[in-house]
Amino acid sequence: MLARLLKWWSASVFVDGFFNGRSFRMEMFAVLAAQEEKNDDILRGFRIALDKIRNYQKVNVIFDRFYSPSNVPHTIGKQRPLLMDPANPRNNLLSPDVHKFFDKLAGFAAVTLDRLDNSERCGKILPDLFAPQPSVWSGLSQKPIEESWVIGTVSLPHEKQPRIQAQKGYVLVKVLEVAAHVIGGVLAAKEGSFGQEDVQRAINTIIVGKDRTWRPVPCHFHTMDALAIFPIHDSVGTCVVAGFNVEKS
Amino acid sequence: MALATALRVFGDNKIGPSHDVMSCGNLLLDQLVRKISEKSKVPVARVAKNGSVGKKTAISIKVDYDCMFFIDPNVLPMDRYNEFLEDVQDILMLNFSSEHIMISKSAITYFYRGFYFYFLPAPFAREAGNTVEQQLMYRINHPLSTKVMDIYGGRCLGDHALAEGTVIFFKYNRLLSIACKIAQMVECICLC
Repeated sequence: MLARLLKWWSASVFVDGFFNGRSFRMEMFAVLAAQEEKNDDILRGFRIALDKIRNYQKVNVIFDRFYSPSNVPHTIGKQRPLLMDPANPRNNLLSPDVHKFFDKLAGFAAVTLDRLDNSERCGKILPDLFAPQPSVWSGLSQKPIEESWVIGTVSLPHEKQPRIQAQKGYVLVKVLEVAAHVIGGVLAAKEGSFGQEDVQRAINTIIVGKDRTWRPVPCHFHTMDALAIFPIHDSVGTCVVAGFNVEKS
Repeated sequence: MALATALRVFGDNKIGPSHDVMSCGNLLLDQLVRKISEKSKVPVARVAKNGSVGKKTAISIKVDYDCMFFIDPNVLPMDRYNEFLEDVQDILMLNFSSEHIMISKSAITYFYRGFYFYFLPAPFAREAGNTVEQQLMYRINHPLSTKVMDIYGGRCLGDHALAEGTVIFFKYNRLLSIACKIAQMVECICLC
């Protein structure tokens, strides 16, 4: 549960370019926290994990389930911070190439710890607990063009989860999929099911950054550069589909 | 305490993938893996489900399947993995659908009926024994040459074989956590 909670949090924060191995690293921070929190207290575990991310520079851990510290090559073993892959003695999950990403994650973790305090004072999950950070994801390395958004509902019974469908070769799916996931998270966190207006609102808030008015336009999804697909999970496979064009830089 | 309960409920209801979604994905994976194993020109020694689904840490907004195909390097050396990947690509195109297949030096990414599937070949050490732990320990103690490098991050392709260890590691930790809970319960009962 703690690993899932941390991955959910990770999907709500924007760190440009941090794709490979991010979920695995979150899982390992959950393991670190679970080792300290033996009473299955999810709140305390979550707090410990976020605190460890905030202070990732202090992490120095080798798991000895499959190998001993002597199996770790000296050049890797002397690195700090150190969070060894439990199954690979040559893989420091906090190697220098990910520090720039963790510097950003550390800042976001600090904000969530403050939000957690507020939620705890109220004794319930306040809406801002998993609200995206930053509030507007303007730093996407490939941006959707603001005026290009179109939206509608379509029956797509095979669709199971939020995703991006590229319709042109220059669309960077991995870059845009993080945005689809954060919107998917916001929609999933809502009470009850969501509809087209909720998706419009989430796109306005998180991607566009202002309260854009959606008007009917003569347009077809197949002409758009990419589609963001959000399944509603009803009995007929309805999806809210948002089409958009992208900057081709 | 109230927030802890709320977090747990939120986790159960919103974060974890639904049973229906997982059943559907598992069924598709089973169909794909069976067909690949049956039709592959290279014999597949073993198949393992890795990644978040294998570790049972998948979240509802992102369920994808990492699947390892272990191959004896004496039958197909690692520097010829492209042959296996191209073969898998053909099998998928001929038997399922030809859309959304992407082939890289180390894996095939296949989008099929709402799910991403990642198929990765990895070396199977025949001399190590058949259990997962034996394979893993052998691979840790016999690091592969870095001659066959992954284009992503300079890791050895053979390191993929170690990914299965993380699945066992998570299962082990989960068991440890359950054992702790049982121990606490027993302690409670004894105190009562």
